[in-house]
Amino acid sequence: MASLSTHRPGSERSNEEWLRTLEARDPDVVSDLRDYLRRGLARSFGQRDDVTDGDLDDFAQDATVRVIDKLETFAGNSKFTTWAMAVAVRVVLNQLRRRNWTHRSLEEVLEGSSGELEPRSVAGDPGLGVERQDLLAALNEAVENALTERQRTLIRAELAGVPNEEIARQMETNANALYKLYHDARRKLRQALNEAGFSDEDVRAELAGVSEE
Amino acid sequence: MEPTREQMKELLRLVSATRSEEFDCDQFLSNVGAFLECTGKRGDLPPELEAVRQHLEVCPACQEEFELLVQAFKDGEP
Ligand SMILES: [Zn+2]
Repeated sequence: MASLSTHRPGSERSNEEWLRTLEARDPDVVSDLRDYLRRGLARSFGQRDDVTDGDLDDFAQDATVRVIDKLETFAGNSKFTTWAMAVAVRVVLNQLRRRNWTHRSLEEVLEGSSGELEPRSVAGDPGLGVERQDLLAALNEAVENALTERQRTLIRAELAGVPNEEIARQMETNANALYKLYHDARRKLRQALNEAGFSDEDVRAELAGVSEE
Repeated sequence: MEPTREQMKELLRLVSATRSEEFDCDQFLSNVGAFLECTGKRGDLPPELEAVRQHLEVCPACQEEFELLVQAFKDGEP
């Protein structure tokens, strides 16, 4: 086999070649992959105050291991390296979210003990037009009445910015089940708004107004 | 505690963007590379990648990921 010791940018190796050599754990190719991911991750995360050069080395190593673990899930509809970078970004972002999460319980977050969020009643907000007040009040009511307790907790935690991984851990579920719960909750809310007399067109029109503020 | 007005507006946006069939975050990850490569080209998004675009509208976590992925390729191949 030809030596791969000279640097070859990721774009010059075919997908088939990446897969074949990584499945064989060719050390030169593993090293090329790690270097490639390191360069991309430096662009994505290198400007952050909470990420050091040493972190980037560790991230690239962790991401390389993860990409090799997930080789069989590569769908082949993009360059291999583009997909690998997407996997790497997810690995690193999840690590940073874990690292930066302050380990509060969902109850604490949703009780607003930090005091950072200013609770403000939707009804009676003078900045809203009558139509929009009605719409937001209907949405508020739908959250209270159309959702299960778990769905309500999930929606509130999402809106409060709790990382998905942390929500899943505290609700004792996994990422896929959590997404299904989240999707079902949004569908129920949409249905409840329709039943309260707000068509999808009404909602879109109101949102267009929101964005013009 | 009551959601803030900003949170309720965000929820309204999320509900409005909801579809009956959606990609989950794993399906998004499997297809986001193809989506990214398409966004750099002229022409319409292929229909099979519409679900990637829609997932970005309803999933803040994947939206954040995508913005960082774009950074990785901003000046060409890393
Ligand atoms: Zn997602």
